[in-house]
Amino acid sequence: MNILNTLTLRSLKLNRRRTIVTIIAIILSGAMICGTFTLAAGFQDLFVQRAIKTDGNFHATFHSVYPEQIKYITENAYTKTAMLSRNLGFARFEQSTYKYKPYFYVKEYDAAAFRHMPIELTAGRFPEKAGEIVLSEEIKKRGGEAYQIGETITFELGKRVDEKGQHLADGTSYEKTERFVTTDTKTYTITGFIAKPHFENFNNIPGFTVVTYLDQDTLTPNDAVNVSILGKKAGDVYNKIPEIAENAGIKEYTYNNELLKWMGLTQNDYAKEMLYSVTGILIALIVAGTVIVIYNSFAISVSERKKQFGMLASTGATPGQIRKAVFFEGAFLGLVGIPLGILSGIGGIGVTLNFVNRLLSDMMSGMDIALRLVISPAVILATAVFTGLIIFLSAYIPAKRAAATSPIESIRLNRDIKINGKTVKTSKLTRLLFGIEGEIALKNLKRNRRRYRATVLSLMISIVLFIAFSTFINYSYKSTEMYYQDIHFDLSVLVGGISPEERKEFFEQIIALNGVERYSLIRELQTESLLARNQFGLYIQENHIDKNILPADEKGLYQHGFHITALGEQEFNKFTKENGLDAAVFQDTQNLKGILINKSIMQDGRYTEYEPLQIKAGDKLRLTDLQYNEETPPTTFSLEVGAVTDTHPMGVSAGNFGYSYIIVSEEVFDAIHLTLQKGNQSYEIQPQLYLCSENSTEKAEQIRAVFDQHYGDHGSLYLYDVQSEQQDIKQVKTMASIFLYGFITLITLIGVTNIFNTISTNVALRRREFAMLKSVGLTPQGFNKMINYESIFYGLKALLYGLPVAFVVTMLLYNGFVNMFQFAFFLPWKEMIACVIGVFVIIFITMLHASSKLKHENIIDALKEENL
Amino acid sequence: MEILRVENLSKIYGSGAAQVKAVDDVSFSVKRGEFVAVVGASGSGKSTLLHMIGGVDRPTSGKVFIEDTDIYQLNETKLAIFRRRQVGLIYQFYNLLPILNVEENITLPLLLDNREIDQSFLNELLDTLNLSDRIDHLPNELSGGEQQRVSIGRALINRPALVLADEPTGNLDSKNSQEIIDLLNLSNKRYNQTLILITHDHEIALQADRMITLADGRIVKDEVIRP
Repeated sequence: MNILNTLTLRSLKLNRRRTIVTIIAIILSGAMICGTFTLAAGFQDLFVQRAIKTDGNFHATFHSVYPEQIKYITENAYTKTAMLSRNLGFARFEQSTYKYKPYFYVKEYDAAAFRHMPIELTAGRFPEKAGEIVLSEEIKKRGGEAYQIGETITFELGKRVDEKGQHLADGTSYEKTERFVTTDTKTYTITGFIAKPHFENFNNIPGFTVVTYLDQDTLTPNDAVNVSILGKKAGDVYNKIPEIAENAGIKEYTYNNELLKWMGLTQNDYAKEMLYSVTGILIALIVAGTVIVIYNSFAISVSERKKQFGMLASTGATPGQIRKAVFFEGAFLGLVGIPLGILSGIGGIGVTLNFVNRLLSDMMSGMDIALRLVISPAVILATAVFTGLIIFLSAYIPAKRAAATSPIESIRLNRDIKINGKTVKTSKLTRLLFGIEGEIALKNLKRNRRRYRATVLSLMISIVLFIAFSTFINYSYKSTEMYYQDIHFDLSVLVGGISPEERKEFFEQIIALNGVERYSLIRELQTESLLARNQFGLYIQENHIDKNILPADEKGLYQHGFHITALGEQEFNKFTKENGLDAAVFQDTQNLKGILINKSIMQDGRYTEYEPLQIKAGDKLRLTDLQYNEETPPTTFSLEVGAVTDTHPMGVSAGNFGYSYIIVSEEVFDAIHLTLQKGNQSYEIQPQLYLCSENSTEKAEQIRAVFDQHYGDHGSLYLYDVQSEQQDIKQVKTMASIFLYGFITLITLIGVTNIFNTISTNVALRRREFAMLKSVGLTPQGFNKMINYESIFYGLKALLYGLPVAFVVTMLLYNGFVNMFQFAFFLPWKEMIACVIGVFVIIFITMLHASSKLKHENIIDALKEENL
Repeated sequence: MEILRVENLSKIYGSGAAQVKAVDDVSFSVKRGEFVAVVGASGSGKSTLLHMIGGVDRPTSGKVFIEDTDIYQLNETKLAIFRRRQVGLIYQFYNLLPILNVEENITLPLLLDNREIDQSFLNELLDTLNLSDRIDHLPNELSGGEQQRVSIGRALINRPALVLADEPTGNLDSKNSQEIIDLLNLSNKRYNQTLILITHDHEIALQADRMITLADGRIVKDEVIRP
């Protein structure tokens, strides 16, 4: 080995402490960068898995593709996998016990589609040839108990038409008046069952899913199918799909947005924006922290070795050789540190994920997915390159400096202290407060600026990191709390698929349950009105009308929505009483009156309450029905604002931009409903029941039991239990805490490493200086005093710069969060105080530790000491 | 034959009223094989002059020619290589690398040059320096005299054109001092090595061929002791 490299290795071995600290810094740096990316990749993978389960494993679908076009797509260079599917339409399901789903909905998949579409086999096998079929398990629960694997099933395939004979699209929900026209009869053999597909929950298709085999060879030239593909490079999907569609002459295509979103390929998503800006800041902080530690280590190493370099230079080492020696040191440390860092990053995340999965399994119940450890070569490579780059830059600058210094200056080691003739001023106050020791300490710091700056800078970075991460944790918690602060109820009930009479009966049963303290039955009609500018509040005038967010129509009027809302008799009486109003006034169906809630909340960083409208009691509003259809023109009616309030009844939230609530009595609501219903018989309102009860989770169970007993065979129930939701959130919080506190531990470690490294080296470098001071009569007590004062000055200076910078970073983080959650800006005071105390404790301990070695040293030994 | 020529060499620290002329317009030349002693009071600019001749400190103005090469026209790398091959420097405080042993410290200029070590010359040198039984020792295991002999070894290993010694005996007792001077004298005679030596010990200076006296950065006397 080259003499300079031998020399480097020997000095690394000799300065074991600093070498270890540097390697630890590299390990931490690598671990954190690798860990962050691995974690992000793990979560991304989780969401991708979920998207595959719910929406299928394909990038895009071409619709209505004819056989002669299929080949172009399947054989296209971009296509990795192509899958054919088709919706055959409906078949009667005579035994269905579910009123709104009297059909089978028949889909055809080819072999590839069975593998990639979001269906999951629960028994038997997938169809492998034409004439085989799998049924949704839901069918067994809804009247199809008799179907068994191996049996045959005969479908009368056909289409749904409305009373006028018009074809009804697959997605339209069941209507009582529709008819079914049989077009074909087919017999299939049942080969298995699939779990209720995710998409059945989110569409109105009035049939249960069954899937049969699509044989491409049997397609006639007029049979259109859907072709879904997985592209070779997902990133090109938005360019390639339109291109393929155009070339093949296909008009319609859709993207699998859910999947593409989590693969990171769509833009304009608030959640993603927050994720990116917050991760960006975190990564920047990690990088800043580790760069400083590593840079400092090298800077210190080089200045310690400066004399060595000077000697080498005077014996004829070229600047290039000296640079190479420093790089060799970097390469060596990186070679040891980076692999360890990557391993511990991946290992640490692996262990954490294992733990988190246990928590997660409760939340993601029903879906067979888990957070997996994604070991991506790209991440490993990126970490290695990135950390390597940090080391390279950290080594480069001091190496350049070392090589550029003239040998004799290096030998004299006098470059760091620049004495510029001027006396260093220290205020009389310092002398008075701290005595001569304090003055020496301060002069020391001022004279030795570079070294001073390095220490203060690393302290400062540690402070910023700590405070920024504490803020991050606080903000994350605050965001989760935000969800729940404006909810006054703890259970809401919505039902579908049962008749209004049954619903009434069901709601009465719920109200009668023990422990229901309060309830409101919310019914809502959406109407709108045209208002003049002066009828809006100042806030809207200034912020929406003047900025043209709310445009005027041709008459110069502005649209505003009014939600006519009934609360149920009991709640309405309570509400009028609370507002000091007479309920009877609002029950007159000849002279319609309502109570306007004139309060909205604007969340632009802090809560701003404002009055959206300038409408007084006694004003009349011309309201137009919003829920009309083509056959019935909109109905217009008049309503008097009987009172204006700023309180909200239970179950009604604060109005938002563009609409306000008007609370009316049951009688008035029914009267308006009747007016609007004229000529539109299907006009139905879905009331929602809001409850306050002692134990909402228990109530939720009771309600579900009642529902299943009486209406479970044909209706569906939507329960929103605020409490159990909050339980879930608690788990998420625990999970987040594990990550965040893990992170903050690492960051603090980096900070401490940093401080320790800088200060202890600093003290070691000043061995001779201390010995000299002692030789002229500085007592041990005086020495301690001086060290203490220096510590204080370091700490003060670091805090002086660190706290404002931390404040700015906090603001940036806050801005990241308000993309998604709106809450007022706040500073983490407790953490800031902890940080201030922590900084001083660490400095004192380090200084004490470093100087204790020097205290008992023989003065002359140190003075004579030539080589550090 | 001239080996070193110094032309109008100056080194000025600071500016204005605070200006200090460490070396002030110095010119002289040295012949091959000459043994020159430079004397002068402390602060007269002896060391600065020597460092500039050795190419380890840059002059404010003026030129230094070693074997007709203007060394300050060279870039840093070339200068370092030139120093490595043509100049041997000996300091008052030895300036050995504490983590290299005696042999490594002596052969450092060769190692830096990736050159083969001439083993017989090294042995001869070690013998001359009386360090043969010390080759594996680290500098802090040696006495001051021994350390200085190592640094002489390092200065001579390359058989440079010029050996510069900056008060090599300043830190040693008289017995060790005489030994060092004898060694330098020996190399001057045996290898026809040009030697410039700074000292303020008049007795040592008188052993040289020529004595240059500096005061306030200027040559005040340049006398031949032994032609």
